[in-house]
Amino acid sequence: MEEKIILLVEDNPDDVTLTERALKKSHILNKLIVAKDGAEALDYIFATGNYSGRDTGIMPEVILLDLKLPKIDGLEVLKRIRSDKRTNILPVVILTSSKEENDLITGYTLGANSYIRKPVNFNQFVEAIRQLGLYWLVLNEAPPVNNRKFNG
Amino acid sequence: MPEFVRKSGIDVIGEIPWGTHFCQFYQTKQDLITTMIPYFQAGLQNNEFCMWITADKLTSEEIRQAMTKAVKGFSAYIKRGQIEIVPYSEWYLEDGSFDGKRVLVAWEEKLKWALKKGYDGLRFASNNSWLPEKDWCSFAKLGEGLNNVIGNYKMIALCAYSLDQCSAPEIIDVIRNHEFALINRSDKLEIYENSRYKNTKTALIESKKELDYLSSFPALNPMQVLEIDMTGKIKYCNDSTQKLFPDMVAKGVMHPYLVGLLEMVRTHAWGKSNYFSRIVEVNGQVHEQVIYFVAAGNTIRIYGHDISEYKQAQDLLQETGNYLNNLLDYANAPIIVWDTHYRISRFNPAFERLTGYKSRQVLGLGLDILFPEHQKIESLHQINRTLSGERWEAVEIPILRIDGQIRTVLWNSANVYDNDGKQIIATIAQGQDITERIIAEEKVNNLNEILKRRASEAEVANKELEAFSYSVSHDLRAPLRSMEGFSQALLEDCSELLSDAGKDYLKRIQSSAELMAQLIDDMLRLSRITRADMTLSKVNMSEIAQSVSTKIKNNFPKRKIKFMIAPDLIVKADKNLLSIALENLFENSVKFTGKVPRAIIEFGITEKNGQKVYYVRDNGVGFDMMYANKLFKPFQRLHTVAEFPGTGIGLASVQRIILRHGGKVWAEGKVGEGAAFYFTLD
Repeated sequence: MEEKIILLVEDNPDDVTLTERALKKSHILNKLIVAKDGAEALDYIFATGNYSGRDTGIMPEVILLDLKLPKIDGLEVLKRIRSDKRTNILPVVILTSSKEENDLITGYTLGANSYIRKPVNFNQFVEAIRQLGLYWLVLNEAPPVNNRKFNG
Repeated sequence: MPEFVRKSGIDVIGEIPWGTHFCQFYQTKQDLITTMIPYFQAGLQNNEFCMWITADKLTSEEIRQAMTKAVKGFSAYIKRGQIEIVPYSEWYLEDGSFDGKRVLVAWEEKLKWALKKGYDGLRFASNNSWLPEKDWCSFAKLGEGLNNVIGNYKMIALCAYSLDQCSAPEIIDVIRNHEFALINRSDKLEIYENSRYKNTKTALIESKKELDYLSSFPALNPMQVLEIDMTGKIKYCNDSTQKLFPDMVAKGVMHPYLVGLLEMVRTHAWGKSNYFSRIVEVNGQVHEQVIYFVAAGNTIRIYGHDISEYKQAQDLLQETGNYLNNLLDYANAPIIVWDTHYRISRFNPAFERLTGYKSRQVLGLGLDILFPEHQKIESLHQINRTLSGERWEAVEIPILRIDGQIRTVLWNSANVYDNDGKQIIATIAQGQDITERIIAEEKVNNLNEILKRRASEAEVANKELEAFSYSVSHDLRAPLRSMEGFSQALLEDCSELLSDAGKDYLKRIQSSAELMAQLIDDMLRLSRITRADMTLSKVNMSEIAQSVSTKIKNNFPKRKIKFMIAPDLIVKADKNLLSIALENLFENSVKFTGKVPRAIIEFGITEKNGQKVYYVRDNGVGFDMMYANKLFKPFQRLHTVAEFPGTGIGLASVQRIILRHGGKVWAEGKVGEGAAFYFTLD
């Protein structure tokens, strides 16, 4: 069985650290890949740029996507994921600071599977990450593997 | 009108005029019958009153018999009283003696009576053979007197004398006093004319004919012709007058048609002319009279005609004229009329106001004085087009005022044609001074420009605000998470290295971070209320209040709160925003009734200055009215967080929502006695 990878798209190193800590505290030990901007995230997903040559047969179990990102923002990343048939059914959870109505609506319209606002209170954040992991990595049945194959 | 010339009934005589006085010398009864019967027959048949004074030879009874035989319907004449057969003794004699004067008067009276009865005149015959010799002289005088009387009246007289009884001088006397004499000789009637009367008679008939002809002018005149004397007696009154005023003869000078006439004639200042005219109104008809004073007869002649129709037409014309004049004078619009030579012929007061010229200054002048120099040619060109039949419809022609100011005026014009409708005789134009309107339009345009600019500025500002809130909501919270999260990490990972004070400091950092996060959220919420698009629809506030109260009851299961919500408060508003406002007001009340055992929150409606006012009232801690104005300011609070939690954004949101609906919100309260929040919606 393949390892279940979590792709975290987050530009703020503090948030990366806190997310890692929260995952650890929630005993989620899956491999965490961090992309520091939207371009890097797309490179990883589609095995381009620095990630060219990556085995696209392996896709993240869930993508935790921040919205406000350098280079290519989160909503654009989501749009690209959803418009490519290799990735259009990948679970994407928006994890962001804002609960602006526009962000919520656009996020869901573009096909986000979930939208979570990062709480300021760390304990609440840990709880959120814990439930997230439980749901997407344990409870949720991922889409069939061959569908996620790059050349599939 | 009764004819002047009458039928004598006697063939040898033929026609005779009124006033004919003739005689007959007879010898036998038959002589009398031969003349008298046809004589009276003609009289009866021609509406004359007849009188037969009998004497010698024929008795009244014999006459009646003879007449009945000869005259058809004689008994009817008798019955009607048109003929009287009287013995001489009854007529000529009184107490057996003869008085010529008395008889003369009696004839006059008889004639008057006959005319009054409606007869054309009096015809009589008198047998004078009874006359005794002693009375011959006075009777001859009567004959002369009769001549005068008969000559002037509508009377015809035939006097019969017995030839056998008359001496030659007597015969001469008789013939002298009569116009002609009839004598029966060998059964043949002969006529002996008195040459004096013959000439007079012929002349009379001739002049009478001419008179008839002349009098037919007034008689047949369809206009009214009358003559009255200075005593007011009507001397003449033509047919058309009698037809128009049947009561004219009866009323005489008192008739409304003649009223005041004598006085006018008497007091009129007669200059060279002998006539004047006046207008009288009778029975609603208007008559014009020309009144001549005929000095010769000391009479007044009136020639009148009915001018009612003419007067009506004239009145109508006058009325129309007045109407038009008023229209022009009181019209607010400047109106001008010019003739085919471009000369001003009419200039109404509104035009005076427009130009500053007085009408009398410009009448007759050329139109060009009204045009500014640089526009003159162009404007005259426009005028030219009206005279070739074109009509102006909102043509703009500037007008130069007397003070040099130029007004912008829109013109409509119409041409006035002559009676044939072919030739233009004038042009009338009505203007509308649009100078102020143009200035106002410019102002409006400027305002619109400013408004547009402001709107786009506002749009830019809104976009900036949106970008700002986006940035705030994304970026401002991240550092707070770091502060909070790493403080927690410190507390967890390094707790044994930290003193209690150190741990306390870290907790303070954490709670500050959380408070700031809360403030940021509140700020964003407030700005969202300001930015949100509004969609107005019918909103039932009572229903919203109900659902809010249900939610509150669920959220505070331990609290005892009584909600009193008035039903069916329906307004036109944005449902989302109004829900937020009500939610905030209710939550506010819930919060500040937290310390009373039984909270009562009331939502209702009242009225102030005729406007509907809605309110949310509670029995909570209330507030000091001194700070009432602070209640609605964002982040302003009257209590500490320890007393009542919150950041002070709820009522500020309420105020923004109400203001966005064009309404007003205010609060009333007293410390310890609850608070009431009132609001109106446009």
